Amino acid sequence: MMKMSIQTACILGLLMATSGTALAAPITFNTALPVSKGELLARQQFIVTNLSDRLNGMKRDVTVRAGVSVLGYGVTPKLALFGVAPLVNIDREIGSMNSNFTGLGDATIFARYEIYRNDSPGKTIRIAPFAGATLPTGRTGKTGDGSTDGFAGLIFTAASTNWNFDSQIKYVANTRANGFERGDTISADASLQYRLLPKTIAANSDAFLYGVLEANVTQLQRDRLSGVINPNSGGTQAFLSPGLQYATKRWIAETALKIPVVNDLHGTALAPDYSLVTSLRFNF
Amino acid sequence: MFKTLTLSLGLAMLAGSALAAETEYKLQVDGMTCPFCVATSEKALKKIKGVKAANANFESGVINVCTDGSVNFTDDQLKAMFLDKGFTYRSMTKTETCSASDFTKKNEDTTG
Repeated sequence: MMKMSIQTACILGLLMATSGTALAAPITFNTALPVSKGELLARQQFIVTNLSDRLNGMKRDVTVRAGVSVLGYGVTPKLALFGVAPLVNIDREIGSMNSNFTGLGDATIFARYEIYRNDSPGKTIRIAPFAGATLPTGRTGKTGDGSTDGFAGLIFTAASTNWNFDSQIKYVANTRANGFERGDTISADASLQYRLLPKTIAANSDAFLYGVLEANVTQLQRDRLSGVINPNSGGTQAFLSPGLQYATKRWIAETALKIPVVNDLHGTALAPDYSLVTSLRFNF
Repeated sequence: MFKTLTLSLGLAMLAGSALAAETEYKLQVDGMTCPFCVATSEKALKKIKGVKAANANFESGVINVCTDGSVNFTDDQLKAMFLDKGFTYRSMTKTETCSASDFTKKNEDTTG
């Protein structure tokens, strides 16, 4: 159960990253840039995460593969709704014990509302809080953790034609299900997207290539099993994610490698080695 | 020869009157920072009956719109439309002909 909670935490952390709209935006988290009223945005993301180590000579190796579908809809110019549905495959090898589960993971729904906007020619600054819930649509103990969890946060975005900067803080309040309660998390994210090509914008340029560098820090509280704290859970993780993003008028392709730079987890908690995030976004 | 010359002159006059009917608007729209933003705005404008072409300049935030002359934009209409798209409409200027250079991909802007 402990290992399941760590895996699920990693997956959910990445899945929430899929909520970005189909604008030039962070790869591993959200943006405050607008979704037009009545407009539908779609994003298909593929994530591979590996966690491994040797504990007292025993090999522990977990690979999580996720195909994440995201839909966003602009209800009003300020309010956008999002739905995130992951299909996951979890391949686990703990010593001589192997298991492999595939299926629907825990889905997420959330709303984002713009509270501040300051536009100027080719530039904008936006601030938008968001809130939502992760639903127990996955198979408990296999592709989901069975709980309904709430989260809320705030996004700041400053964008220009040359670069975008996004930052986010998010708190996830996890609840108890089947005696297990994953620890709450608080995270802070930052992303800089810098236009590499074209170096000079033509009047009708219709595609940009961005270099992307993102940083993510997450503080995880300890899990509880039947009310008892699991000492091998919780801690602090930090990632750096270099990436590339190619944005056209109708679609965006992007990839980033999420590299752990701090894995200060308690006890024998299994830490991630890397995550590879690739996605396509479409504007209908 | 005379017939050919007459026909050519007639066509030229017709073409001249058609061009004269065109109207170009230059819309100042703030907050557009990426190709997607521009596409959203251009798409909304092209859905309006009478709009023949729409083309945006990222750096200046100006969208050039060529109409067949039957469109009469108002500030209130454009303000509401771009508000829905998530951007800020500021102002417009209107000229009686569409400038071809505003609607070609070779129009370099060196301010970037």
